[in-house]
Amino acid sequence: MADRRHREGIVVRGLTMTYERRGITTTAVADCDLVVPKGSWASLLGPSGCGKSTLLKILADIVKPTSGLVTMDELTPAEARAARIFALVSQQSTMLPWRRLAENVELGLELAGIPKRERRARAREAIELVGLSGFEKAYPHELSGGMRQRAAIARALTLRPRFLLMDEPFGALDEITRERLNFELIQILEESGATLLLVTHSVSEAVILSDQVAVMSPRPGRIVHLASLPFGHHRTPALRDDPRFAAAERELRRALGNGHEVPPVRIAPEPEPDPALLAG
Amino acid sequence: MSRVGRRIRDGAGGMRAPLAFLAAALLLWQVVTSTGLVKFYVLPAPSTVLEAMARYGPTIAEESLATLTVALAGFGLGTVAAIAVAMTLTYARLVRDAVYPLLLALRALPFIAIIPILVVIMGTGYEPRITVCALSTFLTTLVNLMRGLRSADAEVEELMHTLNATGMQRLLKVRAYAARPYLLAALRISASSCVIEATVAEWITGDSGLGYLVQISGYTFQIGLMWAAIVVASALTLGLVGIITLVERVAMPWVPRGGVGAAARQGGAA
Amino acid sequence: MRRLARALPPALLLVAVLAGWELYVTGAGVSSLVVPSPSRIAAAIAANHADLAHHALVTIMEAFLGFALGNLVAIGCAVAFTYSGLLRAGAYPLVLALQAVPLVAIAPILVLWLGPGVPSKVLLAAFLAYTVTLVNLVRGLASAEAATLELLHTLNASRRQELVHVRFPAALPYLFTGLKLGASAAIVAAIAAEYIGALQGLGYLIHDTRARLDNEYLWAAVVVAAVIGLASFGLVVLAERWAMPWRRGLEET
Ligand SMILES: Nc1ncnc2c1ncn2[C@@H]1O[C@H](COP(=O)(O)OP(=O)(O)O)[C@@H](O)[C@H]1O
Ligand SMILES: [Mg+2]
Repeated sequence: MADRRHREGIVVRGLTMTYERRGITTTAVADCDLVVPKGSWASLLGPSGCGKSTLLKILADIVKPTSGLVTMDELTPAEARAARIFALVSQQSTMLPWRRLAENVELGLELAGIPKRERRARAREAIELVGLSGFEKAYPHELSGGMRQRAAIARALTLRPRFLLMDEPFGALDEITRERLNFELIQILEESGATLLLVTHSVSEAVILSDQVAVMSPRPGRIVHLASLPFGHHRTPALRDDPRFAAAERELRRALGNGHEVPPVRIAPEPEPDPALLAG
Repeated sequence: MSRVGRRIRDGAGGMRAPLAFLAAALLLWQVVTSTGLVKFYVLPAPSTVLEAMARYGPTIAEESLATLTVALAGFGLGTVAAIAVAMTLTYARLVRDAVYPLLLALRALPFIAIIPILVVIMGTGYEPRITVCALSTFLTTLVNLMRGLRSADAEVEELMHTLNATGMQRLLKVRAYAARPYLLAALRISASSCVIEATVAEWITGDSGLGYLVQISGYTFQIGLMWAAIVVASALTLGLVGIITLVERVAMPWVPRGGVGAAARQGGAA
Repeated sequence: MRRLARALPPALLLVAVLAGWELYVTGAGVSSLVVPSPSRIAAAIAANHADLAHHALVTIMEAFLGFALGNLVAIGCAVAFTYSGLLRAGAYPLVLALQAVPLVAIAPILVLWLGPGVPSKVLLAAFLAYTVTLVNLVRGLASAEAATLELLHTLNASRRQELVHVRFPAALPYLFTGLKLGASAAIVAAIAAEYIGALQGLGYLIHDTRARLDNEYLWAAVVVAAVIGLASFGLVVLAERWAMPWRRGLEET
């Protein structure tokens, strides 16, 4: 039973990714293990260049790993893509410049062959959710970077994915919008029951949005620390006032700073929060 | 030197497949023509063309020289004039507002249509031929240069501003670099259109040059010679374009190969 | 209003140039056999307007047919080159080389093959339009950004969807560069082939009026050719604006 539960969700085993470009080989990810149980929220936290995006790109079937095993609900990335069970919000918040905002948000549904009426409705809903109502007719170049990022999130949400893979989705946003969207994302996830894997370099964002935070070492990236957070899924901005919030932040900062020294930790199989981690 | 050498050599890579393709096409051509199914005046055999080249070598060389002289003179004059005028227009706002739109419109003209007029005014010597080549080079290059000079990154321009750069420093350190791909793209286009215009002009002046040779060999039904002249004209163009492509590679080491995206989208009419 | 303000200086300059030309030619007594004055060219256009229209229409038709034919084939080839590595490696460099070949120079061969009628002109125009469009479109189809292609990939898009939704729109600016060059080149091709051998068309008329030393009519024909060149370029520019509404206000032409 327990075994079965861990095969669902995201499973990464012994993942290694070595890039080769013009004779120069770069090992971006080395022997990485990670389990994100179904319905839970996980963050990858690490210095830039440590292979976070690479890990997400492997999950999204954009690059093939050199070795190792990756599954989402027991499907390989290629199968998962064909089954359209995940959505990726990439770091660049890619928009097609020739489509208006609403058309960009609808893109995934259109490619999946969803009838026009339905995709209109779903897009409108998602646009409202990310606070872009009124800009449906704008072209991407008429929007700010932050608005484009919100549009990219809306596009992912229209797909109602079982797995939401997000690569620094709030990176270009101001602190205020960022926090508002953090909590809106929490609501969305709570309602949809989706599994989240979020890449971020903001410690507080990782704490707000996660059940577990995996801290990665500098390149070649491996997971050097895993923190489980006890906040449950019903979170409000009041979370910041919780003393455990500051404690978790402190712990993660220390783990980040120690990137080199902390020996690799295999992920504890139990998703239950571990209060001991939050003590110091 | 070795870096430059490598950038040049890189260009020769990737040529094996097309050369094989070309060889196969030539072979097919020879085989088809030697069956006698195709009349020689429709398609002479490659061997016939080669024969004509060998037999009329000195004539072809002489006429090639005339065409090359016209094309290069027009190319040079047009380029120098374009650079001078572009610099002037960048700094003279009012003149630019009045002159530039007209120059843009002129660029869309079919230049070869004015050759007969030039011949009426200047006679059948080199002058009208050089003039038409110079005109088309001038307009193509000028328009590209004007775009190029303005193509510098807004952020880089702002940086130069904060560094308190003078107008001249800006021109030399930023705009000259930004404009380089545009200039070279224009030169590549102009090199080939100069040979075309020289050739067409020679049909009309009927005095010397490869165009003239094509015309009289056509009239006298020396099909092998006609093809030979056309092949040589093509080779001249390819040679000139090749030289400019090499210059491009050496002059812009910071551009990834095949990545002259901005320049690729620029162009001028033949 | 701002458009008008921008159009004013060049319009004034144009008027000044024409006036200066008129005054100089009449004042200095330049013979009409060398350079006619603008008013006499205008008079020649008015006097011969039916004839001019006939020859102009022939040239326009030849150029247009060639332009359409060349572009259709080019678009097909560009898609094939984009998706077939073999074709791209073997044939595309030859097309690049072909682009550098002074194709206009083969006009005599085409006239020899097809005679002095319309087909030789159409074919030459098609050749020219084909090469410029193909080269630009292949570049354009490859210009789609990697991040955008990755997005389509994660959205499980088919090849056809990728072509329709990403590659083709991304290629449009390049395509229109090719079309602008091709429109000019098609007219050049038609006129050049008419120089070599034709019974009608502007190239024929230009050649013929020069031979007859009818200088005013010659200038009139050249002016008509120039107007056609400008108009065809302008039409493509308008089509470009219409086809890429998202770029309006982003770039000047
Ligand atoms: N396509 C690629 N080819 C070669 N090296 C790459 C490629 N993509 C990423 N890398 C390298 O892999 C490492 C990790 O990159 P990335 O996953 O983007 O890091 P992060 O998202 O954590 O900042 C970096 O050193 C980067 O230079
Ligand atoms: Mg990254």
